Amino acid sequence: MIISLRDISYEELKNKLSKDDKILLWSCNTCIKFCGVGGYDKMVLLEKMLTADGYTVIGKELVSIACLYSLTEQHQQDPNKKELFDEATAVISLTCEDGYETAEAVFKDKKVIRVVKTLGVGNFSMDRGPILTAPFEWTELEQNDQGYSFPEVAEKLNLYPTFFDRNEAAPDSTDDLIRITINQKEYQVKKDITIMQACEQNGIKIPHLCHESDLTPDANCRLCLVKVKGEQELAPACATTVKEGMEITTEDEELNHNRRILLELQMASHEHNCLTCHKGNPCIAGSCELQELIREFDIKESRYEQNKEKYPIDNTSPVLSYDPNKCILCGRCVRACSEIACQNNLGFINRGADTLVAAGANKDFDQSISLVHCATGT
Amino acid sequence: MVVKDLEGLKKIKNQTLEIQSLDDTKNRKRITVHMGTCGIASGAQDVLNTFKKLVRESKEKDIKIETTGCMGICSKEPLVTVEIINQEPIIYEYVNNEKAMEIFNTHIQEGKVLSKYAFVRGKESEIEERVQNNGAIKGQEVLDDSIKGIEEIPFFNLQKRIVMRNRGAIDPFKINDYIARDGYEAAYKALKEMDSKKIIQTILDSGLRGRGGAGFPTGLKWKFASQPQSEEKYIICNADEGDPGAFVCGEETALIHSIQGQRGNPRLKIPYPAEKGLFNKPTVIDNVETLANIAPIILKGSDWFTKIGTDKSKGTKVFSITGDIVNVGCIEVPIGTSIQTVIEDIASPMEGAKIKAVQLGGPSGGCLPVQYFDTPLDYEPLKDLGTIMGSGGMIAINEKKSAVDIARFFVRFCASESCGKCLPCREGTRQMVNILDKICSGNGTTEDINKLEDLALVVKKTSLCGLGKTASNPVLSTLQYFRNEYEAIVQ
Repeated sequence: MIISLRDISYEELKNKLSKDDKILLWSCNTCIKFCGVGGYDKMVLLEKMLTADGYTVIGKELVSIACLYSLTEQHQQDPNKKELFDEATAVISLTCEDGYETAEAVFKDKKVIRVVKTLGVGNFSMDRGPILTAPFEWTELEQNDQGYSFPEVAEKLNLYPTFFDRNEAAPDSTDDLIRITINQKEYQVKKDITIMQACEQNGIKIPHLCHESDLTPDANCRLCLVKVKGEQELAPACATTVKEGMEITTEDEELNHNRRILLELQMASHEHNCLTCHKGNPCIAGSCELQELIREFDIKESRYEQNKEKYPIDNTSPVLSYDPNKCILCGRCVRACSEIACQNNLGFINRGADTLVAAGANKDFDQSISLVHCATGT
Repeated sequence: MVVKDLEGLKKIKNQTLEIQSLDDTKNRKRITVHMGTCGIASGAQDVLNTFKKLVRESKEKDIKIETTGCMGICSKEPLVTVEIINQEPIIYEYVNNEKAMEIFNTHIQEGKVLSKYAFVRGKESEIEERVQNNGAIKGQEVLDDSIKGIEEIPFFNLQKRIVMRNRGAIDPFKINDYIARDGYEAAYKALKEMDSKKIIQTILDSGLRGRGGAGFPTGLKWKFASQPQSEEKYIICNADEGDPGAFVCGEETALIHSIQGQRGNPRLKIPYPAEKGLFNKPTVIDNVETLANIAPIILKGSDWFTKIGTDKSKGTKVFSITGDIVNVGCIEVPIGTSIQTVIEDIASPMEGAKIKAVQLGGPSGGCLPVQYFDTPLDYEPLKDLGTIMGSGGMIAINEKKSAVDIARFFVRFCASESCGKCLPCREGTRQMVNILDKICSGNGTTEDINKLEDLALVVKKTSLCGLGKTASNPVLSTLQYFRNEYEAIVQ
């Protein structure tokens, strides 16, 4: 992977921005994420810091491979995001230098800000984290098998080994805090976040399968439904914004009963051999969120008739095997493919209980990869 | 043809009325074949061809052949109206090729009415005039008064036609036919004499509510969509709420997706389409029946409209009536008309067995037993009883039918029409079908009934869109009113 380290301080970053700027955070989901200077979480952190210091961040865009010009262009031309991109005046590029140059070429009329210096090629080690093994010549570092750890490189080249520190920015403003009640306890949370985010920030877990923080909420698994006082219908926590004075119940007998029934329906839908499958074992690569929930709810068997129909496993891709019998149709791969990879290669076919995820024109998976997002490790 | 002003419109109207009228100088006789889908399915095309052939062979120059859409009473199709100048129109029912020949020879050529094939005298569009004149139209000779006048038939005289005011009277493929019946005059008035605010206020004052299901005030919907600033805004006419059809695409966000060329799946309702709808622009989505009310309201004013219907719900509602009844078809009655009136008087139950229930609001509606037949057909009273007016499906069910079978039939439909997006609807409907199959086959237990009820409630509470939220209605309503039938067939 490409190794990049942070090149500018938070102060220097701020100096490149004005308070009038409408800032778009732009990052890549590949090498830079493993270098700890990019990816969705880092964009969230930087957004918080800049907002606390009075800057206006209008959006975050995650690109699967930001050094690809065609892909970057596809993102820029996405009609759903056009308004956002038109409005932005500054783009902070949390990508390698290649990604930065690509962004600069695509967003010609905007101020594109580089954050990192790209140093060469390396890999990720379990004990030392990312290491630089094949440095560029200008670094004057010698190539060696051991590689250089980030603290070493940072010291030698006068760079920063880690991402910006939250404490460098002002603390979160209390102006935009609102009061809500979750399970009869009061909390102060930021306005405009979802019930799910408010709960996560306060250590309250709401079961979910279709939601992931870097994807648009789809609310299709219905496990995160909660009660909001005054509302007739149950609200999906992943897609409902908190409001001042909102009273939320995330768990009670009725909600848990609904969740149990939903999980049992899921188990009966295909051969979800959750009680014996190894996917949920964290010691073995891959993990299954469905199995985790089935264990959490202490479900021993489904009360519903098992669907015996078996779909063939698709092994046409060189890197993955797609087993529709294990798929729960949460659509995370479909959304990731469209929103992060900007490809729209994956979609749903058929309807009702016959719905399947398919690639291309209802063909097989030979050209598609979206597996990081799979809920069950299908 | 470009119409620039009201005069232009009136000119077309007068020309068309002139062409349509029967007189001694051009056409003295007219045969109208009713070519709705129901008519065509019953053989109207053959009948039309036969009449065309007969006219051609007769070499008579004064016979005109016209076609129109459905007359509403589909079970009598094929229907043919025969008019001769200065005589009362006669509508013939169940016409086939043989009858067509006989009608042509006897009625058209010899001027003698064939009462054995006749359904009624007079045209639906002239009912009001006939009532005012004691069952006749001035200047029209009554040929056979043993045939009932159309105004005497409950099926017709208990209806109130606003949305379907032109049925049977115009050829839907001829725009001039519509203009001849005041078509586009409301559009002219709205464009030239009213501004957006005034139009919205008129619709608000009329009390018109959405006819697709939930009954949201139409004027309010328009007001919401009028507020956001946008160069482009869309109005979508939702004519996809029929049952069946691409069922889920009647859901408004699913419809937007399918117009955008995407899979017809619903999404969360927020942001509302009035804010961000089609292509992310402010969008009003109205049911086709709702929109059909607009022109008459603009022309006649909101005061006129508020006099029809109930306190909370104004105007009329179209119902598609079918099941164990004689008069299968499409009717329009003032909101608040009782189920009793529709079933007993308009629809007329088939002989042999009593009607025990009515399934309202289509497959995802609910089953209401006979003891509630005095309930007015209106949004809230029906909702309180666990059913919906919905898109206006109404199926009468007699005592020979099993309520459990009915529930299974409708849940099966919902399961096959589920888009598959959310888990409770996708898997819940399948499992409801499984349990109902087991119960219907005689292998069910009391435990299965409880399991079914529990599942139906969870599906209702947790589904994402209107289809899933109502897919349980057939199960829940039959369990509420006909639980004994479930209990009778389980072990």
